[in-house]
Parts: sequence; structure tokens; C-alpha cells
Amino acid sequence: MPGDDNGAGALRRVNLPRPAAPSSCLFDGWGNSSSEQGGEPGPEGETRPQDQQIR
Amino acid sequence: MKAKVIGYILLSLAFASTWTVSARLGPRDRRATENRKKNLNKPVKLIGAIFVPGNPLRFDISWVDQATGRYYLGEAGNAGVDVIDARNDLYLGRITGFHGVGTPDDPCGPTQGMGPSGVVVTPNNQLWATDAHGLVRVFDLNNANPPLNVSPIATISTGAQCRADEIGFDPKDHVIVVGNPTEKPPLGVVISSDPPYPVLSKIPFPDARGFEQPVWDPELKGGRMLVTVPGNGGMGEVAVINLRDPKAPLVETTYQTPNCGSGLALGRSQHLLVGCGGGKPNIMIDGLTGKLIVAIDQTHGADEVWYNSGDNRFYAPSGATQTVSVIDADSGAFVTSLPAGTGVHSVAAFRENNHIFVPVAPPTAAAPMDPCNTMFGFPAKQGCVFVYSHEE
Repeated sequence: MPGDDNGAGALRRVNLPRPAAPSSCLFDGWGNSSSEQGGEPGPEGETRPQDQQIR
Repeated sequence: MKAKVIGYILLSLAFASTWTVSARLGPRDRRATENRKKNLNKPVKLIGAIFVPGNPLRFDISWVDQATGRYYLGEAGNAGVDVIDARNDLYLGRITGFHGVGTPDDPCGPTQGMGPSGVVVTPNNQLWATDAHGLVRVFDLNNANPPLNVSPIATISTGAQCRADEIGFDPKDHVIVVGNPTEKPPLGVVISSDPPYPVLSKIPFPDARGFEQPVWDPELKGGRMLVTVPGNGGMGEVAVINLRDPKAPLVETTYQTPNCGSGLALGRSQHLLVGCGGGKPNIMIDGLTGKLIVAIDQTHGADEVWYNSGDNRFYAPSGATQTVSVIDADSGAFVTSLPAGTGVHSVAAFRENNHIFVPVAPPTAAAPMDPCNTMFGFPAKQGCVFVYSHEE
């Protein structure tokens, strides 16, 4: 429900200061981090990790 | 002189027309509209994320109803359709009563035994959502206020054993087309969108290995339903279906789209973006002829894809690269790749503010990053919905 304890509800913007985050945390991309994971199986005809990718 | 007078008249008409449109909007709306137009030339960026409460997200198709500005997400992890106010990026609630994830003893398995999967909203504000065991549920949203505790006004059986999957609406012939991808052979089921919502016919695809996204094309031969149909051995096609007699639908032609038979989105000038499997580049084809316009080499497959008329771009999430590709819908040129997260394969956009919604799944052993938690401070291993837009 909007505004519950877990933060459900409103948009949390990328440039809002968060706990344990540097004071300036403007999002500037993740570099190559996603490709470093070994490439997650894609959709359509491929294995999906723990069924999270569902056609 | 004559040309000068005509010029003045045209200029005056243009000014009057602009003034008339502007006068209908308040100052704040006018400023927002002007800003949005200016922002279209600026890059699309991740602007934030929305947390969805309950169990970890396990989602499939999403849809933005442009008339009401609401985003709907078929979300089996919580056995419901999550609803977000796309104008204000605010989670509103959940329409419940669906099956959820397939149980361990379900012969269909966890995925093909799950629901909801596909969602679409008709112009009379009815939500049609598919469910497990071949069911389709219809909800009247006209008086559905948050937190959206609504019951279905109809539950329709397509007759399939496993899930009813993706779904499309043909407003001309008043029918819904639903995919039954695991039937043998895979089927499209045609249901009347008028009460009492009878099943009118079934469209079998004997050589297919699924039935993916139905998309209504109002300008093709007076209106045709297009459907992506994945085949065996790397085959794929877009079927063109005439539903003028919905009790006897006719597959008029098929466009061959090798390796591509998942997501489908229609832009202007009959440009169709087709999502591909196996990490293959997505393709843009001509909806009139089926001819390839361009393969977008920088993209790496997609399940659901979306055309946003607000900025004339296609959006295509890829679980393979954990990114969202942005594609110019006129030329098919690759514009950029946006960082996303685990399991991205669902996308929808609100053309009024050009906000693009992409749900991100919880981390897995193979993809351990949890940006919903590390970037936004949301609870770990839950997932969230990323929101992108043009820079302000």
C-alpha cells in the first residue's frame, strides 16, 4: 500500500540521498557490471533464472 | 502582396489554434507540456524506482492504459495485477484473486502453471488478465479506487490445461485474442469483449512452439490482428489475422521472422518491432509487407517490447544484458542502452509524461546484483519497478 514501512508507494528518485550511500549519488550507470555476471539467459526460448523471466 | 496576406491569415490561424489548445490547459499543465517537448531531445535516463509490497516480484506482461494513466503488471509472485499511477509514479494497490505461481505438483510447472501473465485494458476501462489453467478474468475498473479491492465481473475458460498467456484487443470486431502457448498445438482463443463474453473460436498453429503477443493494427487492410508465433528450429513468424467474422478467423498471411517471435509493438508508418530469442538482434519490419527494414544489431533479444508515441521510440528490455534498448521508431536506429537489472523482460510507457516502466526481478545465483536494494534502499531480494524518462 502507498507509504508502507518498506517504502512501497512513491517513486524513490535516483539522486535522493540514502542511508549508507555517498552524499552525492547521482546515477551514472553501472559500467560493465551487468556483463560481468556472465550474461543472464535471455527471454524467448531460453532458460530463465528461477523462472523470473517469463514470457 | 497576395502571398503576404495569405501568409498573415495562415499565421493567425496557427496562432489561434495554438492559443485555443493552450487556453484549455492551466499554467502548470502548459509549462509541463512545454518542458516535455523540450526534453524529448535529451537522453532517456533512469529516474527512480517504485517498490511493490508483498512477496518477491515474479512478473510477466505490463500495460499502460493511456486514457487513465495507470500501469498494470501481471504479477504471479503476489497472485495479482499490480497497479501504479503512471502520472505520479505511485503504487496504488493490487487486484487479487489470481492463481499465483504454479504449485510443485502442477503438471504445467511453475511458469506455465502460473497467473496472471498477460494484461490489457479496453477503452471502456475493463481489465482483462490471463490466469493459470486457461482462465481469463475481467474486471470493471470504472469505480475501482485504491487499494483496488475489486472482484471479477467474469471468469472465462479458454479450455487450456496450462496458463492463458498474452492478450490483445480488437476494438473493431469487439474481440479479445488470448494465447494458449502450451496447448498442442499452440492456440489463439478468440473471446467476445461484449457480455456474456463467449469464446467464439480458436486459431491453431500446428507448427508453432508457442503463441506470443497479439497486437491490433487498425490501419492494416482496415484492421488486422498481428501475432508473433515462435516456431521450431529457429523459425518465427508474425501472423496476420482477419477477425471480421470472429467465429471463423482467417490467417491471411504470415511474415517470416527467423529467430524472432516474442514481443511485438506497432509504431507509426506500419513499423513493427519484433522481439527475438537467443540474444539475437531485434528486428523492425514493415507491417504491410513483412519485409525486414532493419536488424538492430546493438540489441540482444527481448520478450515484451513497447512503442511510446510520446517520444516515437521503441523500448526493448533484455534479460540477457540486463539493459533496456531504446530504438528510434522511424529509422530503427539504436539510440542507447539503459542499465536495468535481473530478469527484465516487461515494459510499458505512459506517453503523456514519457515515463517508461520496467520491472526488475529479485537477484538470483546467476545474477546476484540487487539494484532495487543497493541503489534505492528497498528491501533486499524483492525486486521493484524501474522508471525511466527523458532528462528534465
